[in-house]
Amino acid sequence: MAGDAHPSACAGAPEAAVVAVPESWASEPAVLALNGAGVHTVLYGQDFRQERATLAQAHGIACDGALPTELLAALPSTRVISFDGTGVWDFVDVDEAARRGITICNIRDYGSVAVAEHTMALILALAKRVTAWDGCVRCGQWNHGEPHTAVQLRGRTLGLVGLGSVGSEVARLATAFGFELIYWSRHANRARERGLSVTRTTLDVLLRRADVISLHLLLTAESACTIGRRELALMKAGALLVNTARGGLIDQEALAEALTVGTLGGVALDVWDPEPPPSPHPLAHLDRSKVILTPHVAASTAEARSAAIQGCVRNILAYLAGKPTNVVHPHASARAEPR
Amino acid sequence: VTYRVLLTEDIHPAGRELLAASASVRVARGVDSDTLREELRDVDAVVLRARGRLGRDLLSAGSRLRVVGRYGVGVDNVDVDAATALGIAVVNVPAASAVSVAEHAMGCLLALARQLLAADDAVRTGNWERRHALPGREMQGLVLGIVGMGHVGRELARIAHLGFGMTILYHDLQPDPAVESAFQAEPLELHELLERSDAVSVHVPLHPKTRNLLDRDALQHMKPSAYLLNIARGGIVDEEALVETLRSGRLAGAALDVFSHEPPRSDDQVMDCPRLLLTPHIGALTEEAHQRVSRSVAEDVLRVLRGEQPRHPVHPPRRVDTLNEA
Repeated sequence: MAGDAHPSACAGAPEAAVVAVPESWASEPAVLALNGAGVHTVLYGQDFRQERATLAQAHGIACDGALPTELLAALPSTRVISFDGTGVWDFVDVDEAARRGITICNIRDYGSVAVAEHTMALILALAKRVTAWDGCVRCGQWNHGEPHTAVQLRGRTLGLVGLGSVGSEVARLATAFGFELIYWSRHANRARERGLSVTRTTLDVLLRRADVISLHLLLTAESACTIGRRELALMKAGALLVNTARGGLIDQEALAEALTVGTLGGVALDVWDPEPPPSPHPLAHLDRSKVILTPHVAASTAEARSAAIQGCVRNILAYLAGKPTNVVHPHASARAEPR
Repeated sequence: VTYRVLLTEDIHPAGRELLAASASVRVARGVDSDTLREELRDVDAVVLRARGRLGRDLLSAGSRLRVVGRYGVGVDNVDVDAATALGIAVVNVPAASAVSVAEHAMGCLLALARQLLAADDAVRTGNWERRHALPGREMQGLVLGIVGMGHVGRELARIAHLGFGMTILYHDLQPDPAVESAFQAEPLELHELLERSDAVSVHVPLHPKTRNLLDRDALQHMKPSAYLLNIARGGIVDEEALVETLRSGRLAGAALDVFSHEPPRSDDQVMDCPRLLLTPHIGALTEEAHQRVSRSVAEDVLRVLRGEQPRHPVHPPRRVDTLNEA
């Protein structure tokens, strides 16, 4: 497999290596450091048909988006591909890469703070309806002091589906707001529970009890459609649902139904299935007081970006030095682990 | 004896029902001076919301008037001196909405830092590629300057420091050792606070000393990358100077929940100002805060009418220069 196919020419001699990185990373400190380390860096653009020659000579490829599966067959020198995020399975054919002796690496925990803060921004935007009210003020629609113009968060229950690095960061933020915290994941995480004062429940209990539900799972065969028609029906009337993890965790059709004919209070989505979502999106006509849509930007902060690029480059250097890190195994996506 | 209570605008049923159990309650037909003067003539008490103003002449017109209940914290729309001179008690509700207001401030700051309006627009209009032009700012490690460390300021400091790991600076004429030890908050002069903060939130009452507290000169002390929030009272931030500062790109963004003129007119300069988030004075309007405010003001109004001591009497300010809202 990938590890066995490790090229002896590169082991212990990274200065001979050619590493291809996206051209938009040209001035990143991590990439400049790569040059400094004696690695020969080449830049590639988004049009892969034009980049075949460049990529064919690369021993390692850093990638920031989808790599076409047929491209993998045209990479005779490539031994390692490192993805600048966690969910590499959606962007690179990991099984095909393994068949061709290419090791795939991803990075973890690089954007936990960024994603958790975006999650909290969406929870608050739904609860306080800030984006909706902005439109109202500009159209001359002033509030007349009715209750329910906003929801107070203190004392409400937040249900976290998944308690990985993002989920536990959200738990930390939510504690400061005075949320009651419950979570569900397939495997209990006692260490995190103790540090965060969160209680594990079953998914059904969580859905029935939570005022706000936030998803923090990896997308796997098991976790796909974790929130379907049945789960949406279990939620409290007026509950708020936030997804900054992966679009495929929610049954999109059932969601649209729950928002239009059901009693779901509101939904905020940063992730889509597929991406980009079809335009016009079936939820796009719904009012901002119920629906907030962002284009997969939860991890788009300067801090998260530089951490991601650094982690991605570090994986390639580690592999070339014969000590691979963050290797993604084929079929690893079938193991359900919270992100 | 049945008391007569006037509500300038309807209030949450929790308090309305309390009042109705021992008084006849009615809602004013309008909040302009002429209507209010007419309405005040035969009532023993009035509950005043954000709109409408009770100056000396209106207070004098209420010949039976014994108490003004403010449905909230700020008494900027009541002439407290005149009321006191006329023997009319003024009561307010100091802390009941602090949590809701602090949450609203944090919500506005995050909405600005994550460009939620532009992001939502990008998805709705099918403009997916704009995602690369929507960088977000992380709160962790940023500096939050709180102007006025009262009930709201303290709640905001808790959320921002304990949750988001923000460094807290504050400006208040009264030092607050409790927030300094609980949230490592550092007291500062206003201009130094503005210079060092990545986000500034004002939480002072409106009175002559705080009107235009954040004027053109003050705004120039802020970082061009900083955000400004006014969820307190319109008039504390000079709107003309704010719009000019935003338009010239010398401030990253601002959120206003309150305006010098409410509601702002359709041709108001704030209406089409870039990087400005507008909400219609709803910071305190959650069900929870509403209920507590409504019940508290009703109970205090009834206490005064029954000749008892109210729990939250408002006295003419002893120190007119105090910034602290508590």
